[in-house]
Amino acid sequence: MRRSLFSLILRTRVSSSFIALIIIFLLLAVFTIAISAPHARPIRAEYPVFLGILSFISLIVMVGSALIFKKSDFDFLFTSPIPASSLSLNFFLAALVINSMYAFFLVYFLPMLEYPVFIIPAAIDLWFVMAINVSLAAILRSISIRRRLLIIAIVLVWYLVPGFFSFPISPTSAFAGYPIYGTVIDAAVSLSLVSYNVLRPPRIAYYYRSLTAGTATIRRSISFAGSTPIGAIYRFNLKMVGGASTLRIGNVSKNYAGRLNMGVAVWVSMAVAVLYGVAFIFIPEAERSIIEIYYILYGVAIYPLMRGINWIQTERIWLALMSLPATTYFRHMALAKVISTLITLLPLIIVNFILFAVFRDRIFLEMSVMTLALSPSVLIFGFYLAGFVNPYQIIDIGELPPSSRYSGRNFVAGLTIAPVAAIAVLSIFIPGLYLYASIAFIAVAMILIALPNIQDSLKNSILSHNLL
Amino acid sequence: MSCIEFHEVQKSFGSKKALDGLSFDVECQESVALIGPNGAGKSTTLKILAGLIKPDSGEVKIGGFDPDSIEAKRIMGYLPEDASPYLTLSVKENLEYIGALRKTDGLEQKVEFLLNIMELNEYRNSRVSTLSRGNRQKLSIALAIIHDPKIMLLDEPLNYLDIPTQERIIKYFKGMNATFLVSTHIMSIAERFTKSALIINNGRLVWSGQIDELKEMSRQEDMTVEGVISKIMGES
Repeated sequence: MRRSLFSLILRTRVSSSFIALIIIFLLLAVFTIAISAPHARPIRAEYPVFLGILSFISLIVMVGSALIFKKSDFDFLFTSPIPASSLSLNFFLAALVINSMYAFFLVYFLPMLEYPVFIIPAAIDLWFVMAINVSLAAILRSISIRRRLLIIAIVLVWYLVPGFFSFPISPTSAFAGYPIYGTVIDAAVSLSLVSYNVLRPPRIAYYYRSLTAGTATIRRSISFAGSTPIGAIYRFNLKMVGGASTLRIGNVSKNYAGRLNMGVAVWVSMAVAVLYGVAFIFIPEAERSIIEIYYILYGVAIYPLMRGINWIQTERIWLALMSLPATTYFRHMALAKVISTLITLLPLIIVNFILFAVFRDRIFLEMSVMTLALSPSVLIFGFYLAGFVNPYQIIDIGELPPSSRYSGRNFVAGLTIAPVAAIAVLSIFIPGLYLYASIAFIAVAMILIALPNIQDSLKNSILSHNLL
Repeated sequence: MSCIEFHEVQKSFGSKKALDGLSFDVECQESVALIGPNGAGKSTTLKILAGLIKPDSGEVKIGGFDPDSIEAKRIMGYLPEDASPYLTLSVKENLEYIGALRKTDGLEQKVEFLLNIMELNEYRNSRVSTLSRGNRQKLSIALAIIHDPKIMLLDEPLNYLDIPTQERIIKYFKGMNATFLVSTHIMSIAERFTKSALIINNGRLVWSGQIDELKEMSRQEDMTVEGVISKIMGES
């Protein structure tokens, strides 16, 4: 029986359905290149949108740290007599294989951007960019989360710049009219970072330290004394953003996951809203549509959907299910998260109203309405979707956040972004569609919350996956 | 040379001091219990010995080797508390993968042997995520010993196991001819398994000696052994 380290890592991190998805995307990528190569279609205006999507995916890869560790690795793998260089190389290669899926997926967008002679190098450049992301994620692992986010933000700005200005010295300039420059930079940066990861393997203690770093004391806590269970749900969700949960390692409980005070989240949102408003003042009217598309994609579609999908991994839901009926618990939890999300989006809603008053352009009014109507509805979709598609509470089954297993089901949950985002973006450009979309989304969300069968099915799905 | 050398080790996690100059040696083929209250530093000690974390200062050796070294890992078997085999693999796959990576001789026969002795035969093709906690613990023990280690580091090894299984495993351990350092806060497990004890509290060694000495003290003071240990910890 041949059992290699690489196959162990891959098999325990990726389901067969996900491998199938990678292969499908690879085949689609080859097909796209083959049929697009004879045609010339350079459209520069699309660069910012494509680079925005690429940067968002890069953000997911880098913040998620690309290398997925499990408790089982620390329990049995890292205490095995395997050279650190071999461990490091195999984990790194596995991360490259897994994240290559994104590169293959993005090839589909390339025909919009490139002269045909450069489409093949551009496809390779996409893979180089993913290799840069994965390498950076591995290197940044030893840095505190705050510094990591700062470095990632700088890198993402570097990725985005070629889309808005004529800037050739960036890994993404290959997709923004500088195929030669971009390819050289991609090759140089990715090979350097990959080599660094391969030649300087971290010691096991580094992996462990990076996993347990940051588990310090909570500076500000919430008191639930005197609260009813329903009151506690609202108090927690309206005072905090993200999830705080505990993982027991031995006799020590450690707090994990993000725990951000709502006030901080609102301040960040205000800063983003100010930047957003200022951008409209200085950017020519002809280029405003790019910002509008970004706003809709991230503010109305991706952000609320991700908030909705991520709730299940950090909530002690099975505790709450024992103390409240499913219908009561899920409805109030969903509503609490809706209110929490609207609070964080409120500065953006206000800025859009102000912009409408200043510019008298209907699109700002539409974006305010869509944020108010679509964002909560999209969050509800994500909330219930997570419970059915990926009902595992990561904490409870001995996995360590953010580690999880790539599965086809997880990817399906993420793919719901596509139709939701498409409808949201189309609503900007088709007059009146935003009203119909808003009404339809609200109606579906209300049905999800109202139907008792859905709450009971959700409860059964979660319990059967976590407690049996 | 002792099989386990742990000298003046300091380890802090942020502002919390887990180990404060802890020192002890374990001779080869000796079985020693590491006893202490919650948060005493037992698990931290074992993780340092297993090479998972580095001490802030001090000297640590396993069989004369640095715990982080390949040589140390070849001769060392580590069972953490609440060990978690790979949940998405089957019982047999877990054993085969870990056994192969530890270059176990006669792996196929060894896997069959461990499946039998741990009474996991009927679950051999079952995913670990479907196993009860007790069966997962049995598998974890099997994974820790698959390569016939000479030095065993065990953190609460008998958790979740029924009494017949506990007896069977203790009997197997005693036949292994290895050095044992067993972390536990349950005295009855220490008594069945080991002859010597190290009591630690707040990251420091507060008592070391034979378990028989603790029993004698308990007779003299008309207390249970646990009472004697509590008293020793309270005085430290």
